[in-house]
Amino acid sequence: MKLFIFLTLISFNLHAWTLSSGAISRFPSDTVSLNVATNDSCSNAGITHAELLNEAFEAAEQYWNQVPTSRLRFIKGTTKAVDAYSIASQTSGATQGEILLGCKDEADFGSIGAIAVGGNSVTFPDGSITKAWVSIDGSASSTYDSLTKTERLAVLAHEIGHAIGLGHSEKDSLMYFSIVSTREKLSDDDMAAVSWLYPNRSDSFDVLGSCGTIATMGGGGNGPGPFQFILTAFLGMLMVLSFTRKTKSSPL
Amino acid sequence: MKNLILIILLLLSQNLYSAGISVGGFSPFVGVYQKDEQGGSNTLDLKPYISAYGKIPLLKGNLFFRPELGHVFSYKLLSDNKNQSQSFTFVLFNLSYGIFKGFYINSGVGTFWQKIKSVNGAKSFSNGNSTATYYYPGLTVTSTSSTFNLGLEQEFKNLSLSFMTYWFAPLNSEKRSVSYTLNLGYSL
Repeated sequence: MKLFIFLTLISFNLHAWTLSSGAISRFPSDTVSLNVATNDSCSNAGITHAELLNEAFEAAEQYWNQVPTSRLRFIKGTTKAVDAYSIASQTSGATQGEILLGCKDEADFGSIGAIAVGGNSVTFPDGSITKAWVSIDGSASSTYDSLTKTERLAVLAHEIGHAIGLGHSEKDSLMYFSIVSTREKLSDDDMAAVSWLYPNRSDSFDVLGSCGTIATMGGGGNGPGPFQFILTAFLGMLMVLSFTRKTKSSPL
Repeated sequence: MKNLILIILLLLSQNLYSAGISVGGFSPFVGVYQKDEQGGSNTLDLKPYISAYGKIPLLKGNLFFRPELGHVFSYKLLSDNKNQSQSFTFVLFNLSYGIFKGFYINSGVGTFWQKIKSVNGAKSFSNGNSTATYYYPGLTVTSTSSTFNLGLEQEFKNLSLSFMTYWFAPLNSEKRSVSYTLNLGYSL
């Protein structure tokens, strides 16, 4: 009975997350902007470009921006017309440091029946993502409009996950290939995946060393932030207090 | 920052009041992730951990410096021989103030190292109406996070019970998240 209670309290439920490609691909920057291309109408999906931008940012905030062990952060961009927005030829018009959202006919992104797609193109050998996109089905048969708000946010967050370099997970996660209506948060699997790909930098307060820490691309760390400064000051204060007390209590 | 280890050793060598070990459960990122498809969030998702701590009197009265080094054991899932796991190692620099006999409030700062391990491989998954190959990376990554800590501790002779909360990303309104530990300590 005791063993049963113990095993019930301790759950081992990390599933298997994946990357979208064999080579590691990720944004070199910590901040990624979400923008919407206005080249194609989203009317078949029952949404305007401005609404798509709002929903995408809401999805990013609700899911990916919540992870405290990842440095990645999404910010809200703008709606804009770009030179070309085609998923098929991977010339989405996106520039580095952004995910360009939009609406394309499902025939363009070559996955008939899919609600949306997300992806990226990278430079080698460093694996920096140079272009990233998310497109919802803008064809006459689009089912995006029939989804609940929760489902739409989950779909957008899932595709944003692909755009930042993540693949599908086995089950019970946002990155599972099929979205369920009750998926309102990441799973621990999703959190591990984004923390693996975009870990907090190890230069903040590295007592035990950084063995195994993956090299960050794009060069340079953030440097110690204000919290690290406070931490160092706190330790220094403790050391002074300790010495002070030692001196005062020393016998003459 | 190996100097910080030296600082701790220096403090410990000054005038150690007590030292001990503790075991318990660590619940990461309460309410941040979803445990199942029914929508339930994590609240009592306890992972076993072990730690060692010291108590050093700082001033006259009941104020102590209470450094602690702990490790949350690795937890993993085996799936088609693709092994992924994660664990946490942490160091805490807390102040402990005795409110009344045997009862302390602990607060301070800390650093957590989340070690995420994955074994190299690939697997096909459904992707829309077809399948696609996705990849397990063969690297171990460490993510470093700073915390603000706050909790309570009750001592019973050589034993103690404590509840501690750890505020990750305390200065970031979006990523701020709380984890907690429940543990039983034994003073050596």
